[in-house]
Amino acid sequence: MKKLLIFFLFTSLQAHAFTFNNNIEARFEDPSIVVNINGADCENSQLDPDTLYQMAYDAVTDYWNQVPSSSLFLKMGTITEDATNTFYTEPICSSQDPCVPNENIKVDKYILISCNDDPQNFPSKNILGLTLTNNISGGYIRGALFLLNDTPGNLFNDLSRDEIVAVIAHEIGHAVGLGHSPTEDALMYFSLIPKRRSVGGDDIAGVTYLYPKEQPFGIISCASIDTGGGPHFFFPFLLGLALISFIIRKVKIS
Amino acid sequence: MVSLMRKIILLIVLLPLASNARKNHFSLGLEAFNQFTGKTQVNNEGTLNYFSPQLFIASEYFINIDKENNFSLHPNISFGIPRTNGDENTHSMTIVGSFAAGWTLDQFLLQVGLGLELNLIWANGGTERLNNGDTYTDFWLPSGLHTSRNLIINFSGDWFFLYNWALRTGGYVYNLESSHKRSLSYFFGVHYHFGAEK
Repeated sequence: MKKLLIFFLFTSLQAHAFTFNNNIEARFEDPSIVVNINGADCENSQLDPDTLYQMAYDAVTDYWNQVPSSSLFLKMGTITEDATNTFYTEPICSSQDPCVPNENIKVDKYILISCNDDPQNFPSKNILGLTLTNNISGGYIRGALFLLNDTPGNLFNDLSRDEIVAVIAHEIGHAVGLGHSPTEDALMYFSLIPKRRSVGGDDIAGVTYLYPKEQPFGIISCASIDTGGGPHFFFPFLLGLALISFIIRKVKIS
Repeated sequence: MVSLMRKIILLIVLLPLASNARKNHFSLGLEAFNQFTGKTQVNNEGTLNYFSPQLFIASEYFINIDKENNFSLHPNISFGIPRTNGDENTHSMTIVGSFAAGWTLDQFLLQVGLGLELNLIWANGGTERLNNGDTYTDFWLPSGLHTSRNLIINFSGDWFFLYNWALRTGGYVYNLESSHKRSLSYFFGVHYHFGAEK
């Protein structure tokens, strides 16, 4: 029994220490967030917008939309053709230290993923992506921009498809408000790990903190945004009714 | 084959007649709880949390509502030990409240019901200096308590290996409405039943 207790205590001490991406605690007001793709080709990374769209779909589906205790639900939007070249070429900050977001590439109401070839944004080829929640007011993120490093000699050509998906998922984590995590098993760890399969415990804690699931009251809105084709929310409701009917019947009999 | 089927049918019909009805009583248990099975990566080798249990303390009241047919009701509250890391930056804790209908079958008790799982996450604010690629940056830590609430369908099975002692295993199902967020947690442990005389 003593050994069993020691085992339980050891396994229950799991590390969690997520951080935020901004100098305030900020999140999107609506946990149902649209992710759009810029229509410019990523010339140096050899990623066309359609390929990037599919990778972003996998990133939101395989990572952030999987968290059971969070109401965060990322939806793929469209490949936008607005100001494609501006997002591809301009710096993310109009001035540095501290970064003043560049008004020319301000994003409103959604997350935009774009390739970018400005060396000011990517002084090192080791930097794979850059995300700025460049539109914050009243504690809420109004829009976020995620730039993929498309400067010549960038490292994307050396990465597998799964690794690029993990990079996109990591940067989307920044876009929704999360900072880095000190734990290596977390998707929000600063560096790419070779065998990334899912979010870590720290990611789940972070996204649950920012976007907590609030059932039973939030269950209807959640069901309305899921197009996964699963059973509807009223199944547990019916089960509850059946349970209550059973109890009432038993009380009447007694 | 027919003989075996007869035996199984006889067993199903006769076992409920072997009444093992108990008085209303209270039980306390120690459980290993594996949350959101297969949803979380637990190391840099790509291992998912199929077996990463945390300690749970569970308490339950047994209300016998139909002694003849061995039906009972089970309000239950369970909670995990608060978790933290070495530098104590953020903490989390899980609390589960549920209400289940139970059926006693000789030495076994089967339950199914509904409940609510709360995940409490809290921290004291401040910053943490972390690697940011080519530099180190101060990232902001959360400040205050946030709680998530998940409706659950809970099910469990108990085996009374001694009259007052039972081994329990079961699970919670989350988000049936969502193909992405649907999940299962499981638990197993031991319960002591106080004053469970017939």
